[in-house]
Amino acid sequence: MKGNTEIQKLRTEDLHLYYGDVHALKGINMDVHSRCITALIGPSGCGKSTFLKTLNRMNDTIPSVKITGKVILDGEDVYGKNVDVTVLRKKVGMVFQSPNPFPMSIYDNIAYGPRVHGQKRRHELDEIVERSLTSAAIWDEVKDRLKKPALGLSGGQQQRLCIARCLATQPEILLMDEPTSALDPISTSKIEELIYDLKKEYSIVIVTHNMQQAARVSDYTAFFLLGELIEYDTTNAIFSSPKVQQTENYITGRFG
Amino acid sequence: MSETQSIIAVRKGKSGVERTMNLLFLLCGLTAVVCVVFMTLYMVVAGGPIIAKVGFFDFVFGRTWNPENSQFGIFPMIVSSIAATGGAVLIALPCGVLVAVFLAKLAPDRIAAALRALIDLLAGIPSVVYGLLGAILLVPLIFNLQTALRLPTSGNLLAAMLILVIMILPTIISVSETAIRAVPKEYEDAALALGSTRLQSIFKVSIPAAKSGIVAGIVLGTGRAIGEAMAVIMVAGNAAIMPTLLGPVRLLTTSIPIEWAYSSGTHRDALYGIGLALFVMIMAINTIFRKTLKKGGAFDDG
Amino acid sequence: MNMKKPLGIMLSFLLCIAVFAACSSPAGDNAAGGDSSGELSGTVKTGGSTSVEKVMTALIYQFQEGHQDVVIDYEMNGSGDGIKNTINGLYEIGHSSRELKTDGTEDGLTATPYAIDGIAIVVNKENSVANLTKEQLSGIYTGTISNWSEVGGKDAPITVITREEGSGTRSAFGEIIGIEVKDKPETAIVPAATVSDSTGAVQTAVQQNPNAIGYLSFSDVDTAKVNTVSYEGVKISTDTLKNDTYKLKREFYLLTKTGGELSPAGQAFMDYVLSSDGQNIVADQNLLPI
Repeated sequence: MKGNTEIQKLRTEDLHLYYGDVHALKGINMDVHSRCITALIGPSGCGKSTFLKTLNRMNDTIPSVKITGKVILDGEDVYGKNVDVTVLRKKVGMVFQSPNPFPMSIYDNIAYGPRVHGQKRRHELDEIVERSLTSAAIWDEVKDRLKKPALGLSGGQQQRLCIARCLATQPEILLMDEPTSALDPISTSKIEELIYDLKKEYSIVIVTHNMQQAARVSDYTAFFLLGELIEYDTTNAIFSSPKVQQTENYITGRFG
Repeated sequence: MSETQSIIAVRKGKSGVERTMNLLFLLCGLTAVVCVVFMTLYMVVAGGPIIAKVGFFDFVFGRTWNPENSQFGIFPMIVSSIAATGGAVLIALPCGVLVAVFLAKLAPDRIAAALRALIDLLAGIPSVVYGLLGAILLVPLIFNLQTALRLPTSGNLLAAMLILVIMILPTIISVSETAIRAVPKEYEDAALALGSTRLQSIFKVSIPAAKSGIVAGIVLGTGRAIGEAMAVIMVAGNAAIMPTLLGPVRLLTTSIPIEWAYSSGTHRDALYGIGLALFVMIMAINTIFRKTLKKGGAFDDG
Repeated sequence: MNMKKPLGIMLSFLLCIAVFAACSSPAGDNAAGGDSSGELSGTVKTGGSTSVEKVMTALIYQFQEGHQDVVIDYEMNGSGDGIKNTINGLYEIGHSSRELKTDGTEDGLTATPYAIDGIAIVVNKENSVANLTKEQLSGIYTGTISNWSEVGGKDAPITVITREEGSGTRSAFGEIIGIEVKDKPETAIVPAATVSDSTGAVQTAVQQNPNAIGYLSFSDVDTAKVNTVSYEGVKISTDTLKNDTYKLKREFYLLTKTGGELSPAGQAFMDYVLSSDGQNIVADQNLLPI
């Protein structure tokens, strides 16, 4: 079931990915709806993280990777000719599984993205930093120690910092690769709240190992298995009445 | 069911073999400590008297070195040593780091392997060979520069600096490359995901993250540069005067081999004094580097 | 565990003492001797001037050919080194290319001349200057004359090359042209002069540097590499040395401890150098025999 073309933010067409000889993604056709949260679930090694990384071309950094098919973002093919990858990644931000703030101050972490894209004015950087940290619900906790090292924060705080860092480049889509799997339950719930809030402004794709999280947070859910997209529907539909037997088996825990 | 085994030890304490080995290791460690302590004491005992005799300020800050006339001022040599080493490090540092970046991040595997082998080769060449090549190839080239500037043609500080650069480059490159490789891939991934180009992520994230390793390379390089004598003698002109870039210079190290053989009495004591001065300088440089490192390191560990 | 600390300290102390004890100065020992049948054998340790290298190695070679069981060691670290180490017994015979000092610091040695050597003034092959007076030379070496144009050459700064302080050639040269006079600082060699540490190094430096001037033993001059400059109008050659018109010269000396005894091999070597055979070799090397 596909949404109306107007609210499709991003669409993949017959996307295949090969790691050398290994066929890791097999003909994925999927939509990401605007201002919604789309969850990708499936057992380990099913290709969901790989798929996520095709959306902002992070797989380019791996030399043996070959990709065919299209990823259409706002009408433009991400893998087309003359695409400026740095602009793509400004538009499509990514948060990683383990928090990875730079070994710099909190301020410099957030300012990194804007600086790299040409923003040099101190005054404007200050504003961006405050705005991003506020959007990530961490401003109050760090506003008095912006110059201190980011690595001095707790795990949960670091992850929120990474989200803030991502937001500083004013992306339109946020990709999150198991953002809470390395965190404790309290930080996890804080971040889930944050993600839910963020969907007001951003389209979010989140990979999660945790089905309950997918059920809690997302609007749409895609189930991946062995490199194939098995089923894609609204979260309600997937969890209460899955159409494919494999989906039901996974959700009920028969394998995983 | 078979018998169960008792966990109580049969023999009390460590076995004889272990005790002997422990003693052996202790002796080895002590020997190392003894060597360092002994050398330090010897330098102080051998070099101290001349400084007491000539007077600390006259020795260290005196401008004239003329042992035949009992003048023992080593200030020009101190400045020359600092200039040659400092200049060499200033040039070798950016060159070395850039090559390290190339090797670690940008070069195709085969080219990187060949380049690394070449650099290791450079590291192994005896310094006298560098001196020879410098005297035959480099110094005549600099003559042209000196002539164009209407300066006397001679061995000079620039030649000494360039020789030192070539000698310390392999060290800086290897250590920096290791440090850059050790930077976790996550930092670079994060930088790329934020829209940096490859080069931006290398220069704004990887290199700053590798800072402490790079500084370690600089320390090693500085140590080698400041202690170099033979290669420098062949290209530096060896005049004990205040250094100018294109004029002849004499470093602290070069006086010793030149004058050792025929020195005696006070003159020889003065050479010991130079040795002591070198010793102190190296200790000072090491301490300064350690302190700077600690500051940077603390930042990293948060 | 509490045995280790005092044990460690004691061991360190012992090791320190052992190392200090091992640093006593080596006793000089003379291995050369003869046995009762009169056949010479053993090693004679000699050392000193680099300027005498050519003639000395020729003499040593011929002597060893005639006395197969004798080895003459010849270390080359400069006249200063030769003088010093003959006084302290390290060398049985020392080599010097200058006279002994009379100020008391080099007492106790006998200097036996065996050859007269000219000191050649050399310049680069491209340099057209052919003659220098004593005033010009001392001016150049003290720095009052600093450009070749002042002495008839092209417009270029002069690069002064000198030997290290302990060099016999340097002292002999200085004495004759009146520089480096003690207590007269205005006669000091210009501080920016390049110091080369052997006679060969001077020649190489002058060969490579178009504006250089240097001095070295005539027996070492290779006219394929450098040009010699006339001194006071006289060109250096064996003839001008013989008839005493070329004045820049000095003698080569064999140094021995006054009142000491040489080993039979050492004495035989000294006799050989002064014999007609030895003096023929001296003449072969472009030196004047005594």
